[in-house]
Amino acid sequence: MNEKENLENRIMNNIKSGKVRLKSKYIFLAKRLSLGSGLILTILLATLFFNLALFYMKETENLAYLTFGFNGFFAFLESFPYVLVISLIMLIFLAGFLTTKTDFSYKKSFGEWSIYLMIVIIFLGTALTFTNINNEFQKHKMFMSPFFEHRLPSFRGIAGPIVSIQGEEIIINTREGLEYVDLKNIKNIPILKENDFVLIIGERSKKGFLAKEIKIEEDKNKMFLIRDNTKPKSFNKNCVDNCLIEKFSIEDCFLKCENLMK
Amino acid sequence: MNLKEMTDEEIVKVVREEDKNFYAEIIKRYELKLSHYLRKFTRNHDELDDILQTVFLKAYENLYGFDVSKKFSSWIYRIAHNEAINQLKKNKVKINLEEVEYKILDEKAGIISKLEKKFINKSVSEALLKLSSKYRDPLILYYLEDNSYEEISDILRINKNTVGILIMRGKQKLKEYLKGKI
Repeated sequence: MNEKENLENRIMNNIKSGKVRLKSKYIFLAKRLSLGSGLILTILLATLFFNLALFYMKETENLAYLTFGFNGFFAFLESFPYVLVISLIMLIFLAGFLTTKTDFSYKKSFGEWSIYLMIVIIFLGTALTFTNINNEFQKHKMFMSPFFEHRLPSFRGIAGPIVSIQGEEIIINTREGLEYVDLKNIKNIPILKENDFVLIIGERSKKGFLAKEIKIEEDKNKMFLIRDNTKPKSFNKNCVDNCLIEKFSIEDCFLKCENLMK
Repeated sequence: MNLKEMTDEEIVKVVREEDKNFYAEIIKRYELKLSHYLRKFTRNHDELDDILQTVFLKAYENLYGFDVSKKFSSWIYRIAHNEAINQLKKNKVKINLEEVEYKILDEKAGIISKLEKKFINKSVSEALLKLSSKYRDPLILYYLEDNSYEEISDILRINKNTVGILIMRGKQKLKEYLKGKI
């Protein structure tokens, strides 16, 4: 009995003397709020990134490379939005981590919670792609630019409008700038004209890009991210035209105009 | 209102907003229960006393962190559990059951009822030591502390269904071990 009294007295003495005080309710409130808002923000960002990844794949040449079959697969991998997808995965992990800190986390199993989380992100992210939000982001150069500009260099596939044609050689204006393309390895070259938007798979050569297959994208509404992000400033059409009149090869003209641009 | 009739959660509200002296009632209500639970982690009387004091002081300090819509008992058991785990890590001691508790565990869980009783205490003790805390903690909280699945879920912060599964598997593991032993 004495021990009991002792413990109770000791604790109550600590409390009454003020040695031990109640922590302010605002500390706990702030903790709860920051955890809750952090979790919501992370889920919203993950949703946004999922939407951006979908939008990117839809509005660039990325998915279209798969229409070339196996040959287009590596071009697809090259143009895949890795930074976006890795950011998305990290956000999902962060959301999972923050969830384990909440009081309700253990009420549902982790697997169940993960499924709910993925459903919310996929559903809301997909729904967002049907809104105008991505166009607004693009217009104001928000979010998309850092991910769009940090892609792997194109070794297996390029896309953009044709700016100049000379026989089996063309120049296209890609988002990385002007590209010289040699079409001599393609058996049946479609009828090409300037401003045709083309998708090309092949490989890099010393001269520029050696094409294996080419496709014209007729739908002007498709791949607008590429169409909007080609670099018209870098293209000096007069330079190329004058150069060709002077009977230089298209490759030389390309180099000359690129130099001019620099 | 009569203090004895007040729920733990009501007392917490009073301690937080009106009179901190009411915390003595919380100590009275939980001292025995928690010391019974903590005795599984330490036999040293002074150490037990220190842990118990730390638990009550931590609980007091963090009283605003307790959600009064939930059960206070689960909340304070969780603090005690965490303190006990810290103590175990610090001292590298093994879990500690009294003879009578092995019998209770055997009777309630029906682990070795048909086996030789003379080996019971030693074998259950060994088997429990072999079990990882993942299975051992729910078994102890359920059979020896009489906590419900819901309470164990709140104390250990695991899903209620998982509590059931861990208890079932823990029992199976104990049985398997004892069958091989005796």
